[in-house]
Amino acid sequence: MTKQDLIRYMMTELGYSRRDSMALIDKTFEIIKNSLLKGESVRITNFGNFVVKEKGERIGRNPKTKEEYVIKKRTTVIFKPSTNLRKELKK
Amino acid sequence: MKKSDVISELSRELNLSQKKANEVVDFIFEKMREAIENNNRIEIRGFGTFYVKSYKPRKGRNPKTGEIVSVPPKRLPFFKMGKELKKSLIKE
Repeated sequence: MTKQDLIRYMMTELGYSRRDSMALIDKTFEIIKNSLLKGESVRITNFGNFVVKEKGERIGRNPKTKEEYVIKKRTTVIFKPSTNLRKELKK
Repeated sequence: MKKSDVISELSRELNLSQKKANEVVDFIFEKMREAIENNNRIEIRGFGTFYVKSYKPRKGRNPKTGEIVSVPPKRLPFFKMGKELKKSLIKE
């Protein structure tokens, strides 16, 4: 599923124009993204949480060449599926 | 930030009633959830992708007691940040 599919669903099922559907979808993800960029996690009930996590420096290895290098400290976003989504996927 | 904050901000920024904003946000995540449940990959440019991994049933061990237990098959969704999000996070 891509953004284009989401736009199409929104047009047919909620009756928004293509332009409005796109604006609504883009804005929604922009709001979430901005929160994550501020380091603030986002919790979406019945879907999951987007958690901002600081990962420390560690030694990595190129599995092909076996060469070692330092993976620097970095910030990443982890998705934690909601309990009911997790349950649904166990069926 | 929780879902209701996303809804309020969407309503404020796009001049939409709270009720409509709520409907839109619920709709988006409901569709995404359906896609995940159907094992479909989701790609939202600039944000990221979601994909589902399947795990076969296996015999595991209770690390405390050493007891052998069977772990049932399961599926788990994963999220990978989009390039844009990744770049911005590193810059901050």
